[in-house]
Amino acid sequence: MLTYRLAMAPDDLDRIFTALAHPTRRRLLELLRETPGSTIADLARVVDLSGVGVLKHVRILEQAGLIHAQPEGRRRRLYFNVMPIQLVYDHWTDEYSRFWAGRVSDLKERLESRTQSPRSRRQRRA
Amino acid sequence: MPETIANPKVAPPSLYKVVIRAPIQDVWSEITRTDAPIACFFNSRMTLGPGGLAPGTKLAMRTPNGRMTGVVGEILEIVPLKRFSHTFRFTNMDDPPCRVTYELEEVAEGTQFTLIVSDAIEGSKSLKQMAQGAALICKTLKSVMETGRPSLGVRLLFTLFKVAPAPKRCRSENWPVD
Repeated sequence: MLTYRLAMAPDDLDRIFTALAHPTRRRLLELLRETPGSTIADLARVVDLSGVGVLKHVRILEQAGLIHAQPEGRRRRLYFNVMPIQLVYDHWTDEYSRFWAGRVSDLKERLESRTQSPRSRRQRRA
Repeated sequence: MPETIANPKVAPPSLYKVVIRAPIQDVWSEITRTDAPIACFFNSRMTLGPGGLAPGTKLAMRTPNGRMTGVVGEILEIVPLKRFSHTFRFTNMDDPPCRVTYELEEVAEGTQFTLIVSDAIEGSKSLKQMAQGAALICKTLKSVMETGRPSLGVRLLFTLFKVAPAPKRCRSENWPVD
């Protein structure tokens, strides 16, 4: 049967999940999402690691395609690349499950934000 | 320089990268074609001014029937098989143009495709729209090059575009390229 779904190679999936499995690497991605174009030195100052320590994690994230480095003089500016995560999501879902998963997660977010926010509870009572 | 309405803050570049299992020549031909709608660019047909595919030429992304224009710009850089960069402005928005760059690089698995959005205004409608569209451009290009067609969801989106009314300001006669 001919399939039109994009297949991800097992090696690609392994690299992405391995990269995301470490809390420091997830923190680095968060930082790059907030401040695109940061350098290794910028990241090292925030996560309290040496430049070499950050570089080790950045290399793993680069191999997984989650970070793209652009040279600028002697420095490398780092950017978060969301595409591997997007492709993993597409790999495990189809059009039907994507629609209903989206509806369920919206519902969860709406209900939990109501229960977590005392202000919204007061608003509901009023 | 302080951020004001006259001097809005420019957002840092955002970047989207995928590896496509296809020859670099095929990927380049797909993103620069003018003879048919380009699926990854929301099924738009790229219309170029008299200068053709060269810096300084105006471009417009029009609906397949040519009646409506969604995006206009001017080519800034063309390095065959490597880089295609142009200004980018949504015709239904008043934001100033930003810059879109497509970079190609040959890798062991095929072609690495990178889409870079730069010079966009922080918090603008265009930037939000680009953030949503850029990932779709990348995955649709990958899908077209690897499987021969876009995903079902994207094909349904194309159908929706056909029936959804576009604002009058998007009519192609308002956006000439010559």
